[in-house]
Amino acid sequence: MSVGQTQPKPTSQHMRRNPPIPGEAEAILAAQAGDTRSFEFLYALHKRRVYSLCLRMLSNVAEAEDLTQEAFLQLYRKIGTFRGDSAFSTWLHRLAVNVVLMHLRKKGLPQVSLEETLEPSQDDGPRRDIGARDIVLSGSIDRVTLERAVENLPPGYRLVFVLHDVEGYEHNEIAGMLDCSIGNSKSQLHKARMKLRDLLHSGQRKEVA
Amino acid sequence: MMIQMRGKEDLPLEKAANGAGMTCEAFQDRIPELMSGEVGSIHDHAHLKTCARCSALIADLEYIGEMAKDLLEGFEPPDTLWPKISKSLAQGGGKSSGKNGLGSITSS
Repeated sequence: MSVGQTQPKPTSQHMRRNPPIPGEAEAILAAQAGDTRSFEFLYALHKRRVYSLCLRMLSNVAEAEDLTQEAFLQLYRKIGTFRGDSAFSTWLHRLAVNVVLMHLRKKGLPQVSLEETLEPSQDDGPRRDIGARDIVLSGSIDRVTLERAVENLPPGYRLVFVLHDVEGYEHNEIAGMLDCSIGNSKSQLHKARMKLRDLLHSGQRKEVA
Repeated sequence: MMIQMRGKEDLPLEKAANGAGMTCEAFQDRIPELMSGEVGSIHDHAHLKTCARCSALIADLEYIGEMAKDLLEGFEPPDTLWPKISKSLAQGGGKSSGKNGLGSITSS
């Protein structure tokens, strides 16, 4: 079954974020046959998304560059196994996520232990919204401001937020990737959004003051 | 870790399900489950019909989730990255990651 003859099967949210790209199917076929120019074309198509994923999950430019490089080297090695059962970008991004998670596990440091990063300290956690009402955020936040807030999330919150809200993975997929329960994934996503809301409101209050 | 129910969440299940007598704290403890959409739309929850604060909270959380979709391609890798990948491929890096995997790749 060739890539050009297959249709992506949109089975989850993140696939809908990966529409077909003109010229991509032909480039995949050529790259599978060993054409390095076509591989470079695929790199140009997907470098931003793969690098952004690595940078957001790691918050470290040097590591993000290394892992982007590793992801594309793995792509080169594995592209022959791509059969078009999902969109190419979905397949590539999952490969990149696996590269990052493997790296985090290899590091074995407390701040990247998945067990521990899923439980940030109480000080890092979001507060409840029981007290005085804040200004609503709707329409007031630009991409750069949100990006900065995401950088300031505790690593475990950031990981789940990036995978779910940015990359579009479902909770059952994230639970499989991080070896945690689906309930844990939902809980951490909620805490991440609450923490972001805190950070964004703090930014707004500083602007007003 | 699952959300721990406490306080007025000890209400009978049918009461909790339609939001009757639910405090903001109890409602907010259920947000992860309610926002997943697996138990219907959170906007149909009775608590939101009478609580402007929690309605504003849900609006904010949904807004953050929507804004996140714009972050997909936020960063451009340095122009030096492709030459490094290309060089690694030319040296056989595309065939083997080396015995130490990622450790065989270095930043210059």
